[in-house]
Amino acid sequence: MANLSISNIRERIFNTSKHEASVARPANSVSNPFAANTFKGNVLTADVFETSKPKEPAFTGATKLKASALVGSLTNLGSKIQAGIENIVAFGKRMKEGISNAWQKMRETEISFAPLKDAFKGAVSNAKENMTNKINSMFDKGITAKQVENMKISDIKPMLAGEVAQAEDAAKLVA
Amino acid sequence: MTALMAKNNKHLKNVSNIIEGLGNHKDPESVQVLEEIGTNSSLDVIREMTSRALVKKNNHESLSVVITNKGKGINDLSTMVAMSTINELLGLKDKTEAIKILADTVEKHSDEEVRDNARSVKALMALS
Repeated sequence: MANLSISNIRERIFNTSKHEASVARPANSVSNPFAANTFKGNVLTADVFETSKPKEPAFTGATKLKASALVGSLTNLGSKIQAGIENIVAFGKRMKEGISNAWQKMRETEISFAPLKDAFKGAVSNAKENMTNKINSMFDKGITAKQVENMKISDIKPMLAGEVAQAEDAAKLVA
Repeated sequence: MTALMAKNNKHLKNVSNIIEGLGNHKDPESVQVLEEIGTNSSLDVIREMTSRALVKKNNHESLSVVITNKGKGINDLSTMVAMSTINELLGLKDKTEAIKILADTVEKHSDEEVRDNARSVKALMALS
């Protein structure tokens, strides 16, 4: 028979933990409330539900070390970002100074294309000479055998002597 | 260097054309010109061209130059010139005059080396 005094009722109302703790399931009990009940004639002998109690990772020494490293790296990250920003700022300043100097130098320097002009002139001259030689060799076929056949021997002899001498001289120079 | 070589090639081409023209020339004096200038050149290539042109003429005078003269044609000191001349002789369609001159050279020439060369070439021509 329940005690229905006012103090008991008040305690029951305002101090619930005391009473509920007594009716709560023990912490080591299985989470499946139907574990021991029959189910269509079969008895569920095993707990088919996973326990609802989450597994907390063990905070061991190795984990502590990793966490410490992570915190340290995060701490350093800020300083690194700051240093990077400072580098960018310094780079910008240097660029600005460089551009200013270059502009000043450009203003002070007299630009002349004389060497380039000479080099270009030489290259054009060489190319022109090469082209002329090639075109000359293309159109200058010299004397042909047919032409020689129709010439007099008195004309051919000095021509052959001259060409042989020139060929011999050129061969000596090449050698 | 390239310009010199081009110049040399140009002159050699002219020499080659003139020698070829003299080889086909009807005038008998062409043989004398070839012998006088071509076979006495210091360049092997010119002597070779001249010897081949003389063989192609295939007459008594031209063949005599390359067979009976010491230091010319088949008797040239340059192996290239001598072999090229022999090759041209072996390639003749009508070898009658060449064999006749070779036989006379083997029998009558005063120089033993020329006789030996002529004998060898005659043997080759008989086999070909």
